[in-house]
Amino acid sequence: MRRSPDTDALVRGATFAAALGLFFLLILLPLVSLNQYAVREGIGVFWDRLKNPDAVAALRLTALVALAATAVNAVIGTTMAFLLTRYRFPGRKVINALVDIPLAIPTVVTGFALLLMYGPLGPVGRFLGERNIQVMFSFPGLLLGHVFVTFPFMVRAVGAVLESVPRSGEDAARTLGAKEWQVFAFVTIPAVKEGIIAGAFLTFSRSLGEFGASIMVSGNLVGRTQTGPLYIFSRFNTGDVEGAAAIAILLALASFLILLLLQFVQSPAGRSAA
Amino acid sequence: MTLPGLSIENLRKAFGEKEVLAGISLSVETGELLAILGPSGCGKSTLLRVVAGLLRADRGTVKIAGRDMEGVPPRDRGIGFVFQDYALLPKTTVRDNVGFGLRVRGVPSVDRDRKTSEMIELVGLAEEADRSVETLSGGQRQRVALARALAVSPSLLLLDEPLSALDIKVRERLRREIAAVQKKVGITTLIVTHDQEEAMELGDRIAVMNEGRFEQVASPRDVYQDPATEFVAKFIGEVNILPGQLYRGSAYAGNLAIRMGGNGIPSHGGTVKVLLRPEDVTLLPPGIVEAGQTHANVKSVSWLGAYLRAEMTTEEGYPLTALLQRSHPMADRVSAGDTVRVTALRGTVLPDPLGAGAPEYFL
Repeated sequence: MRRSPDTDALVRGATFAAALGLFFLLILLPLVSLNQYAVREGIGVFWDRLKNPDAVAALRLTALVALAATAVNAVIGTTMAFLLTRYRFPGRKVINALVDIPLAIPTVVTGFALLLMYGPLGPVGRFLGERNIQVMFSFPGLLLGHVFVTFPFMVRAVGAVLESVPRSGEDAARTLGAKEWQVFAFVTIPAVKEGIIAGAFLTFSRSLGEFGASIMVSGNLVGRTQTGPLYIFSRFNTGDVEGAAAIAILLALASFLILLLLQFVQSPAGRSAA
Repeated sequence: MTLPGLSIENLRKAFGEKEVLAGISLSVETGELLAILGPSGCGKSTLLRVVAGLLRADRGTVKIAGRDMEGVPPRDRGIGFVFQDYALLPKTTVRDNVGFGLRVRGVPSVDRDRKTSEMIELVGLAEEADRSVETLSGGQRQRVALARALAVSPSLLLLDEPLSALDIKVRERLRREIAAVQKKVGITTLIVTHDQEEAMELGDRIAVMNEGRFEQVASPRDVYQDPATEFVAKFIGEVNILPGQLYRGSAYAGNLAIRMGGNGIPSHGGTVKVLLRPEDVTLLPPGIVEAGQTHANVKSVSWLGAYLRAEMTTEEGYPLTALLQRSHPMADRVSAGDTVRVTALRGTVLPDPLGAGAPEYFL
């Protein structure tokens, strides 16, 4: 039995409508309502809410932590990806599995674990505290949490590119006289540049929205360790829905722009291999 | 006596349970081009990578220009390596690639530029020197790789299937260019290939490799005419292998006979395998067979351009293939179903103590 072209078109249309409908209902509408809350007292008021010194401090800190976490993971994530794809060593599979742990465990648990380790009561925290170094409830603690939570993004983005790059380029450099650091700097890094860029966008965007680990390790100190998402949460809890929405819409917009940019960076034209 | 350009002794390498190099030895003269020929998985690329220091052997020694390479990293071995996939630096120019080795070695830019230009000239890419390697054809890219390998003035050049990724026309032209450059520079060279024609044309000698061992290391002529093993005979060119028997200085496969050369096998008594190249089998019109000839029935005939290929069965029941030149008197006269006389112009034998030999009635 053959289905008529009409039935085919109907099925296709229905599928399309269902997907689009769900997309609107689950993703777009909440964002629209966010927008409405943010600007319902006029654009001037919206602007004032953004200019609130606490909000500005929170946004600045968010950007700063995201940048720092991206930079740290660009270095250790790329190195980890290089080790995992280019070398065979005992325990490689276990480490490979552990890399994804931050994706699997709740971020609050991550923050809790860091707090127990590096906090005033933890072994490392106490050791550092005696030397007047405070990790928790300050920028380093926040950075530590963000680096942990975003760790897999860079490793996976770079690793995927590295898998597709033949080793002969690196071997050729070795036979030509390059030392290992020169091989890494002149051959490996340029070859995985796109992976690093993609990983950086993902890391940055994930860090902008980080909440669970941040609330545990930061202490949520207004104007000092309060990031954007924590500011939103605090404002909402104190009944300032419009103030929360103003910052929320800004963060959502920033994430969207970063991911949109990523689409262009990853265009097929930019992926041609030599 | 001068030292060999490369000598390896008792080299062994295993990947897990699989022995890839089975304790092999080889000596290559300075300036010689040796082709390592074998099927994929025979260990030839592994051998090249061990010589380059990109892989560690389990046992054995590698000496380049007399110097023991134990513990010497690839960058200090004085080698140039050309890969099948060119392995050029992406998004860089021809000049950047060719100068790379000199740059990482800290050669001053004046010397570097001079040497780079010289090498680009050598491989005929002067016009393309400032173009990005991405805009070049496969053949041009491989010439960049060759110039890059030679720019660091190595004493040993290693080529790993350098032409396999190219289409046939480019491959043939570049093959000749590589040979010309190698002779001009006079560098000791190992080329790994699975292409017999490439090995025959390029190699001063050919090392035929199979399952981690050398089956034969000899000149292209000897490898073809006097294969040391059945594997060599079958891998290089086409061959008829017939069971035979030695009798008074000749080898007989049924009534078909060849005169024995002095290849160390006693020329009387014992069973052998008779190896006949199809072009050494020739056809005569039907008639009375003379000594050493036999009758054969033609099964099929096909034209291959310059040659005619005849598949036959001898009266003793052995399958036999002949290649006749187009100008051969029988070429236009033979067709399937004919009975013809066949004779072997030349051939060689391999000992086969347990072989079937000639039918009893003949001796």
